[in-house]
Amino acid sequence: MGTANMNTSLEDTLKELFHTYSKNLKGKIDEIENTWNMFQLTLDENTLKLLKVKVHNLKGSSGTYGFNEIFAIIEKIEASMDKLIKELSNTAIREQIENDLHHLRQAFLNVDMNTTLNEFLKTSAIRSPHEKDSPS
Amino acid sequence: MQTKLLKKIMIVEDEEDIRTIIRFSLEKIGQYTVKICESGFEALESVEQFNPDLIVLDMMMPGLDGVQTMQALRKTDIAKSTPIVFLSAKVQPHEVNNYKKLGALDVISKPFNPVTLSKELQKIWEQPT
Repeated sequence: MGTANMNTSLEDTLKELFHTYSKNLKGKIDEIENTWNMFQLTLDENTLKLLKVKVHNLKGSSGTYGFNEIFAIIEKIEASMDKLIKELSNTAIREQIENDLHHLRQAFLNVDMNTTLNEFLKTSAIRSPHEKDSPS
Repeated sequence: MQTKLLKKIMIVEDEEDIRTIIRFSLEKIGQYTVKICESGFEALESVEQFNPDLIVLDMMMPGLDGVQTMQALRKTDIAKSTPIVFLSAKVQPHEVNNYKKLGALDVISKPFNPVTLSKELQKIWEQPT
């Protein structure tokens, strides 16, 4: 099999993975919002810890799949949550998170999937690891 | 530097989307034999049978986290000296040295590039220890 064919096949698989992830992304954001609303009602530490895990996971995956704007917002939310865990009822931090969650939803609604996919493929730069580096 | 060839990699990662793309990266691009575990407990159950050359551990997992999993693996005969690389979405440069002091070979940060991940692991494998 030639390199071009192999790379086409890798690109197809990457596209498939991207589409599967993007289909599930709304559900992940919904879950984060629902858990946040639950926390706002209860100010329960365990709910916040559960939320932190969801936020942390979304941070790692969104960046890996090329959703850079979502990654940047969720990174900010995670940092705020690290502060909030030390003072659960801090109104200013909670307002900040509320705003950032709103931005997260907006960023998701505004995502242009084709552009994001193309950027993802470009960044990933499909290339066999066995190909030698070009002389610089 | 490791003298043997890197062939078998065990991945321990709780998040499905990350597991999927790592499997693609290491099996399809890197051509490694890969065993994926969803938790530290599963890694402990599978390590003897799979006998990996290298173990990649997510840092933040429910149940046993990355460090706890590494400590538990170190108590097994099969993985007492198997090189371990941490995968983390939250690591500061100064923390990398702390993880190395704990016994990790290196730390790879998330997000990662799925196409170059296998190359990155190979480079870590070949680096002088």
